[in-house]
Amino acid sequence: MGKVVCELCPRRCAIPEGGAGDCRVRVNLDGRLRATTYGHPSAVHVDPMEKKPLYHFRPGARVLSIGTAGCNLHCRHCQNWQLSQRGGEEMEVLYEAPPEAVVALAEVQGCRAIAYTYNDPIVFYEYVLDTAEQARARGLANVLVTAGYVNREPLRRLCAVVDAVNTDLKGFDERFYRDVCGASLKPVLDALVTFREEGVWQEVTHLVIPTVNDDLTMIRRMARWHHDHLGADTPLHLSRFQPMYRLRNLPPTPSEVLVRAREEALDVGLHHVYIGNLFGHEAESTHCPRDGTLLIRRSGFRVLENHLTEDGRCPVCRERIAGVWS
Amino acid sequence: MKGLAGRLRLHSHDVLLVAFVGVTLLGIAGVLGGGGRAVLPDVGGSRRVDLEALTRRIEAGELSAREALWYHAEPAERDGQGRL
Ligand SMILES: [Zn+2]
Repeated sequence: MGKVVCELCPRRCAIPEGGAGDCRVRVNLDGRLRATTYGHPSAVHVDPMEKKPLYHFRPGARVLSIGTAGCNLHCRHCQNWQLSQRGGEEMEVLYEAPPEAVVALAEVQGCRAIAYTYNDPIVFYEYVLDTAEQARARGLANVLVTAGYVNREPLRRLCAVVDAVNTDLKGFDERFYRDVCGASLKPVLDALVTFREEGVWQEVTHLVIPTVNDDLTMIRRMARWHHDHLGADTPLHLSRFQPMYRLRNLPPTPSEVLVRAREEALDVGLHHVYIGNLFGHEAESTHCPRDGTLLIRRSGFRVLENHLTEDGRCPVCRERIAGVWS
Repeated sequence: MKGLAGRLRLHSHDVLLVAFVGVTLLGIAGVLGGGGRAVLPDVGGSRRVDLEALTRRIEAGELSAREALWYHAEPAERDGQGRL
């Protein structure tokens, strides 16, 4: 039996018999590649949609969120490293949850969507695909939270069953992706564009890490790319870093850095730039880009007020606000 | 006038010191270089896996042997005689 080459993500791991891909969970057994965590999540929770974060997609909806072991990135600041940087065989918790059980659980829990999150759902691709197909057939939405480090053709197939995505754009230079995440930037930019082309509702998160990726000129370049390739209406979440995993030596992001980063992004023309993980800040709320009317007031992950019209418009100027509101 | 070699003649404890400094520098270089190697290559990587634990947990129904999508088998490599 020989090697197999995984074509799912840009690493294209050549995996010998009995070995795993870089993600630890796609394993060559008997000359065939196996998705070892299929049907076996290690994290299952009910979260609000705002926690993904998705602010323009079914506000306030309950989301059944699942994640497995493994990841194809190795971010030094990973907040789920106990999940993402392990193989399935190393996990203490492995639930038995085939796709139909996940969908049934979502319905029992009163969820309107299923999120594939915590680790990168790309590494449990087949499980996402099958669960998402069944969920859609039952009228549930499917949400991905991903780093977008995936090849184009597998991604296009996935997009057919995904309704919304929050994609991490972790930095805006190749060196950052290589040194901090063990990955590369270009495929991520391609994935961001693919989601847009495929009509998936998309929001983008940039975690601002002090001294690592908080340079304002870089954030401005990133926001300009976002504006030109994803459009001014695609929301950007600038998220506050908390010391984590291998970057515990760094402090949390100062709020003034987040505020200045947000000003840069607004200045290049983005309509919806949020500050995340800084609870109680006014930049958690949605305002009309035309006249500044408060549309959705949030605190933490809670929606406190929602003034959008039923057809998703500003009640004052009737501007159509981009998003999926019903 | 003593020759250069004479002036630079090392005593045994000097040799030990030089060796110690050398080993320390090599160690530092190793740590710094290791930081670079810790970053995985963009293509082609693979990892060892605890096959016994994996097999046991697949047989116990805690993990899956479901065949993945999006891969291909590499043609077997030829040996020195051109045999497959
Ligand atoms: Zn308005």
